[in-house]
Amino acid sequence: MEGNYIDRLKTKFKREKTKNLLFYIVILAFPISQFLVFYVGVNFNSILLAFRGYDIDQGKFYWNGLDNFVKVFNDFQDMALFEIAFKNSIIAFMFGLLFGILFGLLFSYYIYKKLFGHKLFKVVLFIPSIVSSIVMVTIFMQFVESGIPNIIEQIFNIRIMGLLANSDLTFTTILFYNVWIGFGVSTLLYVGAMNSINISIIESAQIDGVNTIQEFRHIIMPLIWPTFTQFVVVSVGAIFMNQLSLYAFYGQGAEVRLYSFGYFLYKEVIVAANVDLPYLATIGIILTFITVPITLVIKWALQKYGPSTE
Amino acid sequence: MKKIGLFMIMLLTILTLAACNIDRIGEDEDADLGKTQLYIGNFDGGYGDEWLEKVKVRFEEKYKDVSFEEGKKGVQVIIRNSKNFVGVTLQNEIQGLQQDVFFTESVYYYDFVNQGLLLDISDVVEQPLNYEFIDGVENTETETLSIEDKMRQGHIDFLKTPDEAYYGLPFYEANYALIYDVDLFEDELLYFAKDGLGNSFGFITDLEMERSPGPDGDPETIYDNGLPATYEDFFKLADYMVRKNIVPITWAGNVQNYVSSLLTSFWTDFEGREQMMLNYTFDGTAENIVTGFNGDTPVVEAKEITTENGYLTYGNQLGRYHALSFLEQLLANPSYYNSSLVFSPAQTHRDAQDSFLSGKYLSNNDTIGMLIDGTWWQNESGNVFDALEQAYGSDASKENRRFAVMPIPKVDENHLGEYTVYEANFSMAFVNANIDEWKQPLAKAFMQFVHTNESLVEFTKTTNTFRPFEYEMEQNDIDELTPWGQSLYHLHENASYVTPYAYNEVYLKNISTYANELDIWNALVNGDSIYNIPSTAMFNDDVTAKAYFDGLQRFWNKTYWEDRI
Repeated sequence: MEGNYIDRLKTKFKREKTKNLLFYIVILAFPISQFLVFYVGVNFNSILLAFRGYDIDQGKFYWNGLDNFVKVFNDFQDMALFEIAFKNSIIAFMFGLLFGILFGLLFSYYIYKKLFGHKLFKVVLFIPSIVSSIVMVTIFMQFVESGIPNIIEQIFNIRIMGLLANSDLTFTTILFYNVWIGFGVSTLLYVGAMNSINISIIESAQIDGVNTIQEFRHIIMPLIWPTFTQFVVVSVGAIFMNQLSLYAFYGQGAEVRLYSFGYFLYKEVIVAANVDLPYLATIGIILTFITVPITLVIKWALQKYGPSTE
Repeated sequence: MKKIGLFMIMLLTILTLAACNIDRIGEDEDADLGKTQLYIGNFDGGYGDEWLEKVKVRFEEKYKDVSFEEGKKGVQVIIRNSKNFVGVTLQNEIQGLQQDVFFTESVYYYDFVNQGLLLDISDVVEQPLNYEFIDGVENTETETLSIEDKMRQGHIDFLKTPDEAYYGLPFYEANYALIYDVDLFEDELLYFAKDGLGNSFGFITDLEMERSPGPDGDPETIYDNGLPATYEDFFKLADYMVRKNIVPITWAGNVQNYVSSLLTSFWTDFEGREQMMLNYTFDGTAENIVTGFNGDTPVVEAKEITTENGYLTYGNQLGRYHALSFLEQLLANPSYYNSSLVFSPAQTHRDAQDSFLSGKYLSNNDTIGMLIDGTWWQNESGNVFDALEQAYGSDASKENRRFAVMPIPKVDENHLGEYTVYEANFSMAFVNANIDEWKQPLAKAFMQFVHTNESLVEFTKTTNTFRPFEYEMEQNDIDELTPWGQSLYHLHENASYVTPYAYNEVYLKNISTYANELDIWNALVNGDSIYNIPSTAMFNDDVTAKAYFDGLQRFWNKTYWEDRI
C-alpha cells in the first residue's frame, strides 16, 4: 500500500517534471530560434560573405578566397576616407570615455547623494534616452542652429552661424550631442549600482570622518567598479559601430570629414547592391578582429588593476 | 508632482510615436469579398498617390463585370503607400509582401531580377496596348502602340535583359533643377530683354517687351525666353535680384547632395547625351577630356574611352569643371543666398520649400527667387501650399501660384542650344514575382492600363510631372497643367534625356555608386583631403573649382578604377 503510494508519488513527480521541462522548452524555443536565425544565422552568413564574390552575369555568390581582404587592406592603405573614419571613431570613443564616463559618474553621484534638484536632474538626463533619436536630433538641431545664434544676437548683438553650420564646430557639436544623449543610460546604471551599496558601509565611513571626495574615491568607486568596467568594455567593443547619430543628422549626405566607421558601414549597407555586400562584410570582420583583442585586454586590465574593495 | 510626471511621460510617448515612421497598417480600405483584390505598393514619396487613386477608379470601372475568381465579380485595387517600399529595404522584404504591383525608386534592377523577385512582364511591354490580358485577344478601341514603342532607348537597353525579357518599367521622370517663382519674376521684371531693348541692366521694363531668346538661343521657343542664357547672365540676374532685395536662391542645408545633383545636371547639360553616356557605357570617343590648364583655361583633348580608362570621364570631363565653376561663382557672393540656412543641417528640404513659398507673404522671411530641388517638389510641398492658402486665400494655392523650371544656363554664348537632362532616382514599376499564377493576367492588365496614353496624361495632369515615355497631350490637357507642369512639358518634349543606366560589367559592379549620385563627386583635394560635397568644400574650406576638379582627377585615378572593373 505504502509502496503504491510512493510509486504514485514518483510517477506524479516524473509527470510534473516532464510537464515543467516541456513548458521550459516551449518558453525558450522561440527566443532561442530567434537568436539562432537572427544572430547566429545572420552573422554566420556575413562571415561567409567575406570569402565570396558576386557574379554579375549569373547573379550568384561564389567563393573567392581572400580577395576581399586584399581589396579592403589595399583600400585601408590608399583611401583617405578610411583614415578619417578611423580617426573620428577613435576621437569619438576617447571623447565619450573622458567626458561621458567622467560626467556620468559625477552626475550619478550627485543624484545618489540626493542633492538639490536631483529628481529633476535625473529626468532631464534620462529624457534623451527615451525620446526617439529623430525627435532629439531635430530639437537639438533647432537649438544649436536657431536657438543659440538668436540668444547670442540678443545678448551681444552679433549674428553667428549655427554650431553645426559652422564647419569649425560641427564635429565637436556632434560629439557633444552623442555624449549628452549617452548620459541617460550611464546615469541609470551608475545610480543603480550606487544604490545597491550597503548603506551601513557609507555610514561607518562617515563616522570615520570621510569627506565627499574620499567617499566617492575610496568607497563608491571600488564598489561600483564592476559596473564601470562593464561600461568601458561595452564602449570599447562599440568603437567602430558608433555612427555618431550622423544618419539622424544628415541621412546619406554627411561630409566625409565627419565620417565614423559606424556611419560609413551603416550608410553603405542600407544602399548596398548585392555586389557590394562581400566587401562590407569583410570590413566588418576586419574591424571585429581589431576590436576583440583590444576589448579583452582592457577588460583584463580593468579587472586586474581596478581598485580593490578590501 | 505625480501628475506632472505622468504628463511628462505621456508627452514623451506622443513625441516618440510622432517621430516613428509607422506605416498605416490597418488603414487600407476593407477588402470587398465579392471582388478580386489587386494590391498596389506605392513608395510614399514626392509623387503621392492621387494619380493612383484616379487609375484605380477607372481600372475598377473597366473590369467591374469581369470575374477573376470563382464566385467573385470585378476587381478592387487596394493601394498602400509606404516609405519602406523602396530600394534595398523592398528587395529584402518583397517576397513576403502582399502587394502585387509596385511603383517605387532606388531599385537595383538586376539584383531584383537575379534573385527572382520580379515577374517577367515582357508581354506587357511588347504587346500592343489594345491586347487584353484578361481575354488574351486584341480589341479595336485602344492604342495599337506597345509600351516599348513609347520607351526611351536608354531604358530599353538597360531593362531588356540579355535573355530579351522585361521585368520592370521606368516609373517617373525626375531631375534636379533650378525652380523659379514666375509671379516674382513677372512682378519684378526679372527677365532679360532682347538685345538693344530693356533697362540699363538688360532687363525688361514691362511684361510686353520682347525678351532675349534664352539658353536654347531660339526666340521661337518662348518658354525659356528672357531666362539667363549663360552662366554670366545667371549672375547678372542674381546681382539684379540682390539690388531688388531678393535673395536669389535657396536650398536645403540638410541635403547638400541636392546641390551636387544639380551640378550633375549642369555637367550633363554641357556634355550632351552622347558624351554623358560614356560615363556608363565606356565605349566611344570623349571629346572633352581636360588634360591640363593654360592659366585658368582648360586644355581639352579627345580620347577613346573603354572600360580600361573609364575613369577619365569621371575625373576629366570638361562639363564637371564648368559645373564646379558655376558653383564657385555662386558661393563666392554671400548675398546670393542665406548661408545660415543653406549650410545648416537644420534646414530640411521641406523647410527650404517652405521658405521659398512663404517669402512672398511673410515680411520677416526673405523673398527668394529660386530653389534647388527635384522636379517632384511641388507635390511634396502640398501642405505648405495648403497652409498658405488657408492663411492668405486662393491666390496662395498650388493651382494659382506660378513656378517653372529654369533651363540650365549654358557655359557661354557659344554653347547655346539643346537641353540635356539627367534622369535621377532609378524609379521603377514592376510586378511582384510572388503573385499567384491565376492573378498574373490581372496584374499585367493593370501595368498595361497605367501605361495607356490616357493614364500617362492623367498622371501628368495630376502630378504636374511626367513619366519617362513618349505620349501625346492635347492642347487642352497642356493648358490644364500648372505653369510648373507646362515648363516641365517643354523640357519633356524638347530636351534630350540621359538615362544613367547601362548593362555592362563595370556599371553593374558599381551600381550603388551610380544610383546614389553622392560618390561621383568624391575628390582628393590639395593632396589628401577627401571631399564628397563640392558646396561645403567650397564654402567651408575655400576650395576653388579648379582645385576640386583637380581633386576629382586624383580620386578617379587609374588605380582606383582598376580595383573596380
